[in-house]
Amino acid sequence: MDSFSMLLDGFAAAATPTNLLFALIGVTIGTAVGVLPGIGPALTVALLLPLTFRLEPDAALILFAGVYYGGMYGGSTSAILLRTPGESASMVAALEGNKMARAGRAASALATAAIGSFVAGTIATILLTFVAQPFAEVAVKFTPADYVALMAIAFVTVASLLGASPLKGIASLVIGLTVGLVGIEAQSGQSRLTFGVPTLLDGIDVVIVVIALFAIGEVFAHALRGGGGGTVTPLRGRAVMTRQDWRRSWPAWLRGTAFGFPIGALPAGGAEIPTFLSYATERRISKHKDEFGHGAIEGVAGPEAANNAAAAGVLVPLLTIGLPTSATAAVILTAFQSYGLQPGPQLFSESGPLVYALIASLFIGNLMLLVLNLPLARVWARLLQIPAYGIYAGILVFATLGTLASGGGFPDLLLLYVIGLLGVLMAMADVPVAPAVVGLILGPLFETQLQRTLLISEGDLTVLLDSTLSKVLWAIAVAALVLPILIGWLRRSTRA
Amino acid sequence: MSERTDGAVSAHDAPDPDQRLGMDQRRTALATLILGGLMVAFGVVVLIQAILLDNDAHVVGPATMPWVVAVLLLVIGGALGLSARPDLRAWRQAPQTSPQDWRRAAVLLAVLLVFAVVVTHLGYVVSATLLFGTVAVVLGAPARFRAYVYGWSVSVVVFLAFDVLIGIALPAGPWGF
Repeated sequence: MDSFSMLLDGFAAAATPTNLLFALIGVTIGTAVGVLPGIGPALTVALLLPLTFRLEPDAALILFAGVYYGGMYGGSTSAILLRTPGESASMVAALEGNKMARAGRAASALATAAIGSFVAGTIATILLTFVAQPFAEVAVKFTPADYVALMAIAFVTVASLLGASPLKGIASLVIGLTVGLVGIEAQSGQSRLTFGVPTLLDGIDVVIVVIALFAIGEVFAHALRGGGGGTVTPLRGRAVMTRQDWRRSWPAWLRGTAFGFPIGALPAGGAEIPTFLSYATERRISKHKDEFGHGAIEGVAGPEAANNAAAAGVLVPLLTIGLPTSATAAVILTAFQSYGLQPGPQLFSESGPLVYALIASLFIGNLMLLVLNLPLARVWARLLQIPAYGIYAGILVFATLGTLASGGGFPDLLLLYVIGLLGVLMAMADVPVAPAVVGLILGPLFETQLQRTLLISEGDLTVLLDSTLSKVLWAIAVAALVLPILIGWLRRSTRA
Repeated sequence: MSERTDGAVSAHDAPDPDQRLGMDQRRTALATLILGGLMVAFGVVVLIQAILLDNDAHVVGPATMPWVVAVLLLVIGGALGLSARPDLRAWRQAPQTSPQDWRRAAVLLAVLLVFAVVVTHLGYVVSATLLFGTVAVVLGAPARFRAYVYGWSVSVVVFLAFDVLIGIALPAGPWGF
């Protein structure tokens, strides 16, 4: 069956009252957590992971997808009104959008962000629908050695592209790999780094690590920063755009989508780079260059569209080769695994209806988000009035809830706190936590593929570079590792 | 770097961006140094583990990843520590981190530990009420009583949604919630 008729079946599956309800709950929660500073979509999906014990796979995945897309919409609201991006990909919107808000044009900024997110999200989801299946058919032919090389690329790019410096990103990745070692090794049954503690034999639960690094780290970092909150720029009027706003926005939306989807879809993606590229492009080709830095609408429209298109793009490597390139994607991968599903080329042949129901729910969710965000922008803005102490106390309640709900007791809570303190240290040292999550989840998969490769070749290491594809992929991985460090070094030496 | 030397004005009530930046960078450098040190220490632990594991004459076996990770921990941890040193020297004269912040963080940790101990005895709703209320007060909630009332509302909603509606069992105290 071709993608289109599969998609129609997907719509039929996603449009049942129950699944529509889960999509609505998902996008609502997603928008809320996107708006609130300190909670991102990755943390929220991690907190909701215990639901996979109870819900049907399609309901849970539709819920998580709603949270994922909703977080992207909500993130721009707090970026524009508070200048604190709810998540890192909204950084650019925080620059230009907040300037617009301060000039009394918050409504236009929110509108161009929401409509741009809708346009980009819809186009990118269409692309996802028709790119994913052919890509999966190519990916079926990948050898274990190719997978090893692909994961090497994911490691390197996630570590060196997210965060302030490549060194700190790599440090985060290594921390994640270390945590991933804990537990009984699958092939030989030997226990590693368990120190005789029974709780550690099954390995450290991904839920606990994600909650600890994102939630506990965030709360303590807030407490150590002396508490307090930002200033909310009030929102006056309805979220509407003038004719000139429209004329300036729509080319920027399309260009943003053109950056966002392909870069997000690369196994090296993430949403940060396309947003910055889009901002730089809009700034260069704009007829209103003087407005940039003082609230140019293109500077909100383009990056926000890029951000949402990349979010859809990230699902391509996740669904077709099982490669997460962002923290949220990594947590969604765990959700699949808890149903015994392994995202990858086989997913489309084995669970096709589920995948297309998920994709259909993305179209539905996008429409819901547009409706939720345009007329209700002021309701969401009111969320920003919640005092910081309330938000952070709530984060701790939900953090412990996530651990208790996944069947944890006293030892698991202690583990949560210990890793949480590591998260505090990482937050204070300006070390990004997303690479650690990706390392934790991909590390064991990498090890399995590596062992499988060398079992087939009977220990011959040259098999890793046997296929042309592997050679190319390893070359990309090395380039992605060396280039950022080289560029940083050159920049520093020219400045000195 | 900030030229201000009078420690009387704390960064909380003086929104002097330079001073703020100075404190943040010094703290970042210190935290980076500690994190690097921790990574090196863990590198040694993982290295010992790698030596103890047996690869069963396979080229790649259970000990391979520990070897790789141990080397990475030692190298990256060391590099991280070294990269922090120059920054640290520059900020030695910068104003100190307020001890009040550390006290607040210590209280938070204590509250979390108490929660872990009592939650199986007092049940989820009571424990989470105490957790929310106390954390809110520590982080600056103006009205104590109201903070606990908010905490109680949040815990009840969570308990109803998760335990009653979805059916994920949460610890129940002697009174069943």
